Amino acid sequence: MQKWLLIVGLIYLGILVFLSWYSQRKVKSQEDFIMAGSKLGLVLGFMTFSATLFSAFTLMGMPDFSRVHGVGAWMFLAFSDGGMVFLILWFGYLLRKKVASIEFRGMSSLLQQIYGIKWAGYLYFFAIFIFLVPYVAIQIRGVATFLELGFGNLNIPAWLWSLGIVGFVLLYSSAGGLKAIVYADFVQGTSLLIIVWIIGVACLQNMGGWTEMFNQLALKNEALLSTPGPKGLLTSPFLIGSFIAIMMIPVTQPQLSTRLVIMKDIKAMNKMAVAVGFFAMLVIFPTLLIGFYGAINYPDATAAEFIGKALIKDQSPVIGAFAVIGLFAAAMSTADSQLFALGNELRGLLGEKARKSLITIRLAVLGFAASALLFSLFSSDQLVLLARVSFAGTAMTGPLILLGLITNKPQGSFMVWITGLGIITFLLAQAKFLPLKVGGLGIDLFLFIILGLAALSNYLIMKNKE
Amino acid sequence: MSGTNTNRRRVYYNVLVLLSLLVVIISFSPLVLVKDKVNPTFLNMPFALWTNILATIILVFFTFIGGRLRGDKGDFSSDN
Repeated sequence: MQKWLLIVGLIYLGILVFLSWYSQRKVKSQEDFIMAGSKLGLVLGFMTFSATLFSAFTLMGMPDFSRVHGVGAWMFLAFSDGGMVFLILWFGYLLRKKVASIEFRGMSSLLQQIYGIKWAGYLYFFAIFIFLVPYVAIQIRGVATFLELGFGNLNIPAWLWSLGIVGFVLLYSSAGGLKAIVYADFVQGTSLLIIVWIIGVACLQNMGGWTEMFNQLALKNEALLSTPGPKGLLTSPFLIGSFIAIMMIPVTQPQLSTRLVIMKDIKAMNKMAVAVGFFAMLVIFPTLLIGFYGAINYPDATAAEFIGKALIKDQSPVIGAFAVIGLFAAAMSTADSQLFALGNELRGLLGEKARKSLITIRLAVLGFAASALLFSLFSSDQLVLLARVSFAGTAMTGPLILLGLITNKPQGSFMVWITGLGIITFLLAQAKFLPLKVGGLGIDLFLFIILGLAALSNYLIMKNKE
Repeated sequence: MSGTNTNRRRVYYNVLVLLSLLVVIISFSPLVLVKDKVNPTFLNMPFALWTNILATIILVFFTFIGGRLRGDKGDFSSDN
């Protein structure tokens, strides 16, 4: 397989280097570097959005999640993505309408301008830093651990694989900016879709076909065929909390909000939302097949062992090589966008002088990449559940953002403080200093309800004051 | 005339939002999320899987319709 890995890997890296060089040539201004020219059409727009959204979390995490929790995995992610694309129609319109009158320098800066309070931007930046850096880290860690196990004979430790992934991300994103990332996303998203289907179909054949797959699953563990699954995780409160957290991703995560802003026009953005919905279904479905294959053949293996066997060892050398590169691509496509978005958000918060220099964003991206790399050395391998914490954490800022966008007048500081309190409560609960459940609800769902009601009350009070 | 058309689109869109909410509520209700319920199956898929795939397709289809109703400018105007 290593021969194939070398061939496919070199082709893939060659494409990335070419795209980086090509985009660098096309970058004529700061706007080109940071906002990719803000004229993305449907195809590039939906591929960059999809590749940023679906990552190593999808290719490694989702098969393992469906292996352990069964068919409810679809509802956890695909159904939530369905809600997310519907929300894009409304949120994207609000966001684009707002930035048409205010210079868009990132969501942190936008919140500062909308609320007229500096702390609104700092709070948002704190939230995305504290929740996105670990998210980037767990993806890098997931892929690196898997590569270390899969290629034990090469004696390359996980940290060196991590360094390789981050190094390449830095190379092309600092050369060609967001444009290079968008082009790379196109390649990475396409690779992800093709690879996940090839492996999914191979797994299905190995299980004896569609009908036999469900028969075997029923024999193995019938609880896999319904919710809440064998471990009882996928209950209504958990799934509703996940639905809100995932639906809020474009609202609360800057790498995706930015992609809504840089679409050519609203028509292209609306079409992109539909295309992302289809892409979500297409990419998640085969991950379930891989997961079911694991539930039948490797029910007691660890996550890394199962992924190593299902994606590589049980496949032909060519497919195995593509799977490795696909994992690289998946980890990079999300990491690059998130690191770049973090850099851009920091830049937006800085003064005019620092903002005008591209060195600022390059240094910021480098700093965040180093943080993610450091964090990746200590994070666990529970990809999906850690990703869910990240989604839920950033979703705490959702009511604050939506309130700011639907109104044209400053809304006072109440929402800024209560959102801060919500984030701290959520963090303390994750650290086990506070309970993870309140009255039968998960702490995330409980906080979503409180913050949502707070935003609604704030809106009504301010409206009556006018 | 154009204003009437815009209002009509807005009403249809609001109905679509309510329908989407209904799909979400039903999907999370005990009508769909039933412990250990496998039957009725569809194309051999267990109940929880096919109903959720169907609900997801409906939401994506609603997104398509919603985009058309909002129009090219997103403000329900019909000058597409």
